[in-house]
Amino acid sequence: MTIESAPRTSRRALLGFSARARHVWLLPTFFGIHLLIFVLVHATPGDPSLALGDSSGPDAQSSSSALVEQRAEFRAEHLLDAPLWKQYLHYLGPFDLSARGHRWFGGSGEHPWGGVLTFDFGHEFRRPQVSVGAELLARLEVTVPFAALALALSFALAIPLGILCALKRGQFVDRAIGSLLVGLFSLPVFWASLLLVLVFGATGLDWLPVLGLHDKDAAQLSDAGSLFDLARHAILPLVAFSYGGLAYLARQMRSSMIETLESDFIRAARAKGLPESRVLWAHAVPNAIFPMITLVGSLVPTIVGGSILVEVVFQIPGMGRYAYEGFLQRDYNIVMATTFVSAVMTLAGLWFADFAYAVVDPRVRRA
Amino acid sequence: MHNADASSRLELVLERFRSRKFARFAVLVLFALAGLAIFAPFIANDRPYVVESIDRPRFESARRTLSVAANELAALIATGRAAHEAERVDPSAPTFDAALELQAAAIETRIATMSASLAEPDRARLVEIRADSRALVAAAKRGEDRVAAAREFATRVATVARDSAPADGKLERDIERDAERDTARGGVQLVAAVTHPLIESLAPLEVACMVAWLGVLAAALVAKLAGARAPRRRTAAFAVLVLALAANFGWRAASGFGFVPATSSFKVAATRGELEIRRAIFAPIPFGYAETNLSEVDRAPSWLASSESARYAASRGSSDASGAQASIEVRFGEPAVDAPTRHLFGTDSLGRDLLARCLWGSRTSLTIGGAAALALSVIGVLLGALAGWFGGAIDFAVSRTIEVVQCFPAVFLIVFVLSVARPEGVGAAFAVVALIALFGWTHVARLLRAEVLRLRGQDFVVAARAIGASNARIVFVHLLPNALQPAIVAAVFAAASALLLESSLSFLSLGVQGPMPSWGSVLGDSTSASVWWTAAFPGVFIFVTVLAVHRTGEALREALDPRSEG
Repeated sequence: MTIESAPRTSRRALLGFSARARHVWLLPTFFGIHLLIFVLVHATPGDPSLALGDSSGPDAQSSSSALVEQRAEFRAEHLLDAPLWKQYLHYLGPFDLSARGHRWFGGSGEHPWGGVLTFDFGHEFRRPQVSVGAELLARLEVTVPFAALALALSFALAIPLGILCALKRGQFVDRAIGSLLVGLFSLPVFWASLLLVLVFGATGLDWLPVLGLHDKDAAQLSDAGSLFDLARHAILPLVAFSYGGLAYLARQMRSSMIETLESDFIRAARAKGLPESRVLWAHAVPNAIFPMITLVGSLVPTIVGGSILVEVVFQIPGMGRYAYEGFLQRDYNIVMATTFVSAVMTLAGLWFADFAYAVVDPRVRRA
Repeated sequence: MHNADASSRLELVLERFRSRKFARFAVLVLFALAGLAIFAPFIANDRPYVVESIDRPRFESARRTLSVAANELAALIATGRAAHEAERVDPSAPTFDAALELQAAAIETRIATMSASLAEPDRARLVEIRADSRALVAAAKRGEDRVAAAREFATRVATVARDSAPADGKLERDIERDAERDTARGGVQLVAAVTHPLIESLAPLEVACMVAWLGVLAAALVAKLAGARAPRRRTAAFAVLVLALAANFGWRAASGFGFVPATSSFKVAATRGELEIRRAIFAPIPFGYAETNLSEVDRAPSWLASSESARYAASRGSSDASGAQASIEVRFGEPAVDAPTRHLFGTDSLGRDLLARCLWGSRTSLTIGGAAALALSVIGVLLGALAGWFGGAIDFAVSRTIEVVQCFPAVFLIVFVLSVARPEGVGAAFAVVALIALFGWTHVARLLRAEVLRLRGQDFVVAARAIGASNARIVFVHLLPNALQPAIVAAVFAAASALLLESSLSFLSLGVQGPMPSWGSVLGDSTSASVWWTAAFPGVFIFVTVLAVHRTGEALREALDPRSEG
């Protein structure tokens, strides 16, 4: 979901809310995320193991006896016949409570540790030899740099744009940029990605490669060549990842800057005769930027959520595409793992935002 | 700045809202889009408005089976009540009376079908038969012995059926039945029957929506032309439209989003020559949203040079270059093969007209977006108000839930739920609305909680409490009307988010299923980059709608905010 642009009145209220609460509630929220996924699995009608085997892929035609076996294995792996509290603890970890689990809980000790706390999400249904956790880590190596770069790029462009608009408030430049930003903000991610592919790909200008992260012959390239190839492949997805955040942040920066310019300490700075450039760059701009840090928290879910769409369109093997593949294959382990990790990434983003804000703002540190 | 005699706060806000050019334009665009969605059946449809035709195969089959039905009725009467009820062979007609009714109804349907294509003198004999059959059945029900009369009736029906053979019937099946043709005396002249397939396919609520939309338009025009504003009446008309849309959605959800049947067989039958068409008036876009044409797959917008039929055939790798013209099937009522208006937006990978799909898709997209925004606002307002008003454990629970739910990117969460649960019972559209509402309410709730917290200590609330008002009264009568402002703005933005989310899900083929399109699913059908029109056009609709909603929301926020200059 895109970020709702919060009414201006509420921003300070939200800020206080998050800054006070987050350090204390980091762990409970983590458990809440975990609990929500657990509840959703069990609250939805039907037996999870029945989802096995009705995927529409080529493997769907596997014999029914193999399917029954697979289902039994799934039930055993997730302790589906055990009482709910035991299932919950098993899914949480760090102890594996199943028959092959830790000795303390009556298991064989073959696989003592498990659950999400040990980053153990079971194995894929289609490829039993692949562990979902390991595969997810490989996918995160793609998605996390993309998300971080997109975030940095959005901030780097949005802050100067916002300052410019605030300084030229009401003038043509401000209104033109403002309209452009609303337009960008309303652009659906998947459509923008498709258009980028159409315009810059082989069917249009043919400037950039559009699919995947490397050309087919990338293995023969030198290190520098490979990096260049990667960069060329990454440009369009990065644009798709970051334009929405850019539009949102620039508008927030504009109103933050306007608010700051109208505050008393700026008037005081001017009154005591500071040169305008110093009032602007030493007083107004830093104070307008600080609250922007907390917006990282609301951008991370947007960027991570957008990763499904961007990665599907550009065929990038990241976490979002992994979640989509998991959906297509009706693979429980994959969708549970990706959903969980996407939420934890947001939590980490929120925590980072609060931490950074506390570092720059002494009032928050005291509170 | 604003009108001095604008008495109420609502009028003040409306006045400030109206003074924004962009906002007025955006509302106009949204209203037009709603009109397109509501009137989609009239704009793009494979059923004609009016058709005057002779359906010879249908007439013939009714004629042939008429005497069969009459014979069965006679046989039934001959069996008698006691014998029939002892046997009880037919589960659909457990009693003798029910069996009689069934046979009578069978005769009546056939007579109705035949009467539609017959002129007056020929029809009169059928009407006689109908009266006779009714009398016969009534008498048999009373227990009178009518075996002989029934036999006589069956013979008479057979004669009438034989006499009603069309004089100019040239169907091959007729020639096979030489014996019957030889005995056919005279023959009758079939006349064209006038039907209205398009209008008959409309559901009552669709018509209600159309009337409401036209009502709002009329009210706005009247107000504009008269120069005097009639805000109350217009507000009422608007409320009617919203109610009709909501009722429409509720009804659709209840019936599992069973929209009108995807395609009619009319065009296909007309093309095959089974119907003799005297006159047919089609919608401006004579294509159904689910009407496939496998001879015209992935064709570029027909106003482009690259879409010209010979080039199209060549690009499809058709070996028969000379027969390029013939390779595209042009059905009855459609523009010519190379007419620039044939497919303004091109066709998709099943040869469906993209413009028709976009227009019909606006129904799904706008309804789901609006319904989801409404639902999540209701949840958010209720939970936010509860948390803000009662505080304590309730506030704790709600706030912690908000924090947890907010951590999830909505797309991931919905993908997750849709892959663990199959919403077979409720329908995919309803499931999408429910999930968006279930995971999207947090923002509204947070705003409302903060607002209620701010207001609950103020004098008017304390005063209400002092005179002994109940909790419910204070919250619903005093607090909510004052606290709703930010929630209303948030709800407008939530509509845009919900629409985007629905499009994203449909794009990933997680949303609305089947032949019914939504903008996102039309976009998701685009298979390769060379078929650019399937990717480009549906997105324009999404973009324009979301942009208009954002503009409206912003103007509303500024109009509601007394601090903004305006």
